[in-house]
Parts: sequence; structure tokens; C-alpha cells
Amino acid sequence: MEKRDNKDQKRATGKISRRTLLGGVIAAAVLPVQSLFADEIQPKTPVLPEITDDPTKIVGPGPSPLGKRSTFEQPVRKPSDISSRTPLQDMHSTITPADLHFERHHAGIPTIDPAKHELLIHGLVDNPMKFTLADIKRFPSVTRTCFIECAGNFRTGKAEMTPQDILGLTSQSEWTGVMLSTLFKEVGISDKAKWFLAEGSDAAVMTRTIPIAKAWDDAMIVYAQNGEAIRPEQGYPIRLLLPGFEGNMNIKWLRRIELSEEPYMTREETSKYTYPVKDKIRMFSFELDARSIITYPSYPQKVNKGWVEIRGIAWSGRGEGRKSRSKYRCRQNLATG
Amino acid sequence: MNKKTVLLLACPVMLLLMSLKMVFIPSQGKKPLTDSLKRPAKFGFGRPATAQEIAAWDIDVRPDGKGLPAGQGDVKKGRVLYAQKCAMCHGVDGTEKPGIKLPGNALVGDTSATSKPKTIGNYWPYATTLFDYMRRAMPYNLPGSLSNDEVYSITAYLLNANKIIKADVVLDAKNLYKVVMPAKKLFIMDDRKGGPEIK
Repeated sequence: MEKRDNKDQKRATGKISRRTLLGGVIAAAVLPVQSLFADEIQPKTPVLPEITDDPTKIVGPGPSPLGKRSTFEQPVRKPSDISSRTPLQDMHSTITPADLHFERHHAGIPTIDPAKHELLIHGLVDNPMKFTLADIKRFPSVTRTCFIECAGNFRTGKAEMTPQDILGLTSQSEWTGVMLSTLFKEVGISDKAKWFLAEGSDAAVMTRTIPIAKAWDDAMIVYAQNGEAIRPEQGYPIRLLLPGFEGNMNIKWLRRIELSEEPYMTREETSKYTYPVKDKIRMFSFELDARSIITYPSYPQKVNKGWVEIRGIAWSGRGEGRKSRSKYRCRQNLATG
Repeated sequence: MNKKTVLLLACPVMLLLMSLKMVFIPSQGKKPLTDSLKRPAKFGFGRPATAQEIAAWDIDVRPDGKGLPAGQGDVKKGRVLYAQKCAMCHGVDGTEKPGIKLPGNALVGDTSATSKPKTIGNYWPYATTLFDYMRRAMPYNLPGSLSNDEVYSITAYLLNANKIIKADVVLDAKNLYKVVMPAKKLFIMDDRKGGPEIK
């Protein structure tokens, strides 16, 4: 038995392990056992640390290069085929941890070498230019707390729905980058330009056309999220940030901006992100409206009799889009009944 | 180290700290809280983009035909290409294939219907969008793999299948943008100026 497993081990690794040579008998005994139980000892869920009644009697692990959540806390996104929802019910403030920020992509997450990534700005400009990521980071930076909401962010229909199921396609981060107006001044914009096309470098080469007023108002090209580089699923190394506008327009993995007199009528702004109104279809509806949701108590949480704190989040919409999400909190006596 | 040495070393440090403190004392005047640094008109970062670099990335096509490349395609070639490259997800006849969630939207529908399903025939306002989207993102498993002639051909096939163009039409940069889509008349720009109406 041991002999055969040892053989398997050698075949699997393609060479004799150093420990087998050095450790002799001990290694010969240990390795096969590891091999034999490899499947069973591979944890499928994180192993909880040793739980004790008295943590003051056990020395814990020391400092580590990368932090991780307490294994008792396991907030997770809920992915579908095309998006992944933020666990709103697990949030305690208005900032969403970057790894829990909702996702929506149209052809997967591209792997982009930041050293090679460039942004091209051309079209109705005085000087068509290319900016490396390093160039973009040299411009004066701005940090703002903004939420992004998917235009399709509302699901209903069942009683058994968590806040994540209902409105999980919104998240908020502290974003850092350069104002788009700073870059527009650098290339010089023609008076004829009324719109700009933003294009990503993903496999969908995602595109949206945006009115130029937004560029002069508050549009940003951001490279950092909550103090670290943007996560790949959020547009690493750079994405467009359009405060208050529908999420789809905040083009990720941004590589090209073209200025023009007219909108381009891309697939996203004609056959997708348009809305029926009476007998017509409205297009270029950019701003999303105000919304709120109670996150505690919510399905499937249970409450006890007595004082209960009701928690939730609310975000301003159209017109007040620049104000960030706020959190409301009140107490309600659910004592009787 | 004796006391004298420590004092000698500490003095310059103290002086430096005191001078820094002076720098950081806010002025008592009523200056507005704005960035005191003057911005240059241009920072001088970045570099001019070459014509070749722009041409390599500038793939968009506008409703007025700007951006349509050379090449041509017809319905017959498009039908063959559709079967090879599109039917897997969109179904043999372009109607939605049950059971496939991604990304097989229905492509062919009743052009007189204004409700679901949102097909090219009853929901796409511009034929140029079809060309642009197909060239940049389709087929889903091999994006960007179609030649311009192939995109013209599949566009012709789909427009014909939706009864928008005749079977003998050859599409190219000169006529694709002139195709009038049935849904064009349904689309309006958002012209609201605030007010109580929600979106």
C-alpha cells in the first residue's frame, strides 16, 4: 500500500522529492499518507481557528503580509452569469470593501499589464494624445466618495429576498484619480465637440457616449479604490467614474476617448440601456433616482422582543447625484405583539 | 555618547522642527480655502498619438456612416456565416435558443411588434450599431475575429431575416448607414428638465 502510493507520488511530481531522499524512512512514511488523504484534508471552506473558551490562554498567529477577515465573518457577493451582488445586509457603513463591490461585465475581466496600458484621447481635439498610466498618475489627483449603481438595480417578486437580492447592484467606494476636465484641457477640446465616446479594453470593447458637459462637470478617470489600486473586476488599471450616472456608463478598463458632434448610438445606448415610456423608447437617460433599503432587520434575520435598531442605507438620485450615499438609523420598539 | 554630544545633535533637529512649525501656522488673513498652487495651462504629460495608433483603435461606426470600413457582404454569404458562428448561441433561425443564458438574445423578430422580444427588427434604431457591435464583440467565444466582409455579410443576413432589406442587397460603406430601421421612429432623446417624474 505504502509502496504503491509512494510510486504515485513520484509519478505525480515527476521527480523524487528532496525530502524523500533526505528523510529516508520518515519521509517514506509521511509522504504516502499525505498523498493518500490529500483529497480529504483539502479544506473546501476556511478552517476556523482553534476555538477555545479562553482565548487568553492561547498565543495567536503573528503579523502577516496580507490581512484577512475574521473567519467568523464571511460576507460574500452573490454571482449570476453576468453580475455579482454586494451583500448590503452585511455592511456597517456607507463604504463597500473593494472585494465586495458589485460586478457587472460584458465579456469577462481582462488581464491588463499596467506598464503597457495607455489612454488615447482623439477626435475633435487640438492634439490627439496618448497617456500612460504613469502619466495619468502625475496629474493633480482628486479623491471622492461616490456610489455606482447598475441601471437594472431592482429585483422584486418574492417574499424571501435579502437586501443583496433586491438592491445588491450598488456599492460605494472612495475613488482616487484625475478629473477628466484636466485631461481635456491637456489635449484641447474643439468647440464643436458635444459628446465623447468612452471605450474599454475588455473583450466586449465596451462603449458608451456621454455628453461633454459631464466631462467639464465632475467626470473622473480613477485608478484607486478605497486607498489601493482598483480591483481588476472594477476596471484595473483605470475606469471612468461618472457620479450619479447609470453604472453601465462608467466604462472600465478604459483605453480610448473620442470627441464628436453626435452620439455614436452604440449597442449599449440603443438596444440595451433604454426605457419604454408610453408608446416611445427613451434613450440617454443618464441619472438614477433616489433609493433606500432597510438592511436590518431583513430576510432571513430574526429579531428578539425589546429594542431593535433599524438600519439601512439611502442614496440621493437625480439632481443631487453628487452627494454620496448616506446611512440612516433609527430605533424602534418591537416589544409587544 | 555624553550629554554634550546629545545636545549638539539635538539642537539642529529642534531648530528644524521649530522652523517647520512656523511654516505650518495658518495665515490669519481671510484668504479663501483654495489650492494655492497655480496650475499650468498644460502639464506636459503624455505624448502625441500617431495616425497609425489612432487607426488601430478607432473602430467605432456612427449612424451617419463615419467609421464604416471598406469591404462588402451579401445575404447569401451571411446565412452561411451565421450558421457557422452565431447559431450556436442565438439559435438556427435567430430566435432565442431556450436554455442558453449567455449571450443569446433573439435577433430576429416581428418588426411590427413594439414589445418583447427586443430584436434587431423591432428594437434597434440604427443599422450601423449592428455592424459596430458585431465587429467589436462577436462571436462571444472569439471576439474581434470577424473580417469586415464577414461583418457586412452577417449584417445583411440579419437585416434580411428581419425583413428590412431585400435578399439581393449587397451592403458596404456607401449604403449600410442609409438603411432605415423600423424601430427608429420609436426612439426619443431624454428631454426632461427635472421635476417630479421619476425614471
